[in-house]
Amino acid sequence: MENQMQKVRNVIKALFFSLILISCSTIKKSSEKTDEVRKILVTITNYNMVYYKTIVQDLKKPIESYLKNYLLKFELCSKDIDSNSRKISKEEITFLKSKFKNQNIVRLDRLNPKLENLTKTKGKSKTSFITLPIVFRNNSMAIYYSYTANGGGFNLLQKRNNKWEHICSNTVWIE
Amino acid sequence: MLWNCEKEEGLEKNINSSIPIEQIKKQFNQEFETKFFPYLKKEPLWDKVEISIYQGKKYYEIPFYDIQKIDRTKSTSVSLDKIVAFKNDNNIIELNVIHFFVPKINSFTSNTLSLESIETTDVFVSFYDLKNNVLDVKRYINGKESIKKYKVKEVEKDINKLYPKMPTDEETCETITEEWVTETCYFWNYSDGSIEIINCFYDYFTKEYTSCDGTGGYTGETVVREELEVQIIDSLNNVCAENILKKLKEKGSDYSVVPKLTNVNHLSQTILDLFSSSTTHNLTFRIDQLGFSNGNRVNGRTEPVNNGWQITIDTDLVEKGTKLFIAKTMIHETMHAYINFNLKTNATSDLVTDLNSIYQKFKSQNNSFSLTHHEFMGEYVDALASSLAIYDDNNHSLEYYKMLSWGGLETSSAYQALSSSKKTEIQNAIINERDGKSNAKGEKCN
Repeated sequence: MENQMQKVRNVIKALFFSLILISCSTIKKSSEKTDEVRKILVTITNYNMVYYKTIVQDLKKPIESYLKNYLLKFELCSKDIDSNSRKISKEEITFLKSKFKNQNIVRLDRLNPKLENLTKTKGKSKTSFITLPIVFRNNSMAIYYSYTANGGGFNLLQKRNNKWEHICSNTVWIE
Repeated sequence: MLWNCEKEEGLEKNINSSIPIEQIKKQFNQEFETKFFPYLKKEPLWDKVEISIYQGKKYYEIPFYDIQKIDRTKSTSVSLDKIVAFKNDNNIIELNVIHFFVPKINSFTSNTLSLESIETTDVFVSFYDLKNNVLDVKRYINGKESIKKYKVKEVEKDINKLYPKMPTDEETCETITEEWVTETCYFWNYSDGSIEIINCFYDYFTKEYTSCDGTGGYTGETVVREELEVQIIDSLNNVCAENILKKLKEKGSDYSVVPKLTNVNHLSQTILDLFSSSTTHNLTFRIDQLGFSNGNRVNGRTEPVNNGWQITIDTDLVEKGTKLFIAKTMIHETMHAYINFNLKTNATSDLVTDLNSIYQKFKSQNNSFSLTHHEFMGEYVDALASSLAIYDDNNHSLEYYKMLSWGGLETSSAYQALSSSKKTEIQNAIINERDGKSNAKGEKCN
């Protein structure tokens, strides 16, 4: 009887430690992703004047509604980009849809207080509005939506030599 | 004897068992991948299905183009691809691609080419699986299967390599070359009933049939002509805007006052060229309230839709603006659609090469796509202006049309390079026409 009790205790202990390990790994992965998002935001704001709050819709439609196959074909890309990098698979579209759907409006200045080129003025023609970037393909690629006075569309980034670089853009609308 | 009876019964059963066309379509959509057959259309002509009995099996043959479209005056041979569906020995439906090649058109007078008709034709018949692997090649001469064994391969001809070369062992065997040209011509149907051929594109494919059971050679060429009407969908539901679009589609009558430009001429030509290499891309015009973006009034917007592009003209512009400015906005948006069309369908064109070079400058900016478009269009402001001049019967100076055409291109370096006074003059002209002010030179819709 005592032996059986000991066995049960051991199983419970093993389960407890496994849970801790899984939970630690999930937290680590999530924190890695947040770090990547922060790095991407630095890249974006280095080149653009960005509104300080993120967007979750454009033209009165949620961003995830623009994640359609024909709207995710990237035809304008950096010269050295191979066709596989710019191609978003069906599975990735499903993944990105769920990620964009779950995004909330966040303040970029609170997410990363070091970000430069943030503006609280909406009506300037150079101001751009962006979603939070979503990292995918084993943290090697990222995508975000942006719009300005003249158009809106998705922007694709790739991590190269530990640096994020814009590699492709497309259009959802253009004026 | 009994075995024979069973076999014949089995054959009879196979011949009699039918396959619903809907089932073939469904299986085709699931299994057929265009990447393996880039030279074939995405879908065969389902309404042209034929049923043949070949070697005791019932085959459903669906051609990829109408054999009547072969231009007999230009062809020396006949080529045709079909999807064939049949039930295999396990009673499972199988799909193959079958390719017919009649090397000499003189020996073929029929209007159909099927597995049944090979009995009376001199023809090569090749079967392929849906990954374009050759399953079987047979040659029938006057209805009898040739004893020669042929191999077939697709040939990528490099037209730059015209220098003579020594024949390989294979080339000393009998080689019959099949050349197949698809001439796709796009035409516009004018309202007066006249037809204008806009552009013709040619796709070339070559296959070689070799047999080392003999020597010799022959080349046959098949020319297939497809004529496709360009589609522009008018969903404007506004008589004034509809008339503007109608006039923009008309041919220009006087080109002498506009500068000679390359690549882009009058809008009608531009719109038509837009669709000159695909039947699946339409251009829809509509009116809707576009409101403001970043504090700027949006006059027009171009969006990709599933089967082409949609251009929306702002309701307020149609109500308050002049016809001239509405026409200018339609031209501007059509140019966006034209550029997008080229990006999507013509990646190796000079236009796309230019766009890609421009894009490298802007790629890190959030509006890099629109910056690239507008920078490119800034180089063609003369073409946009000449199109507007033709629409307006040259009632004003070309300079005035050019000023209006700068509208929406303010981010371009060509516009930025203009003097401050010129920019002010341009913006004043734009505001006058856009808001239908008393200083506007154009007439209002209402």
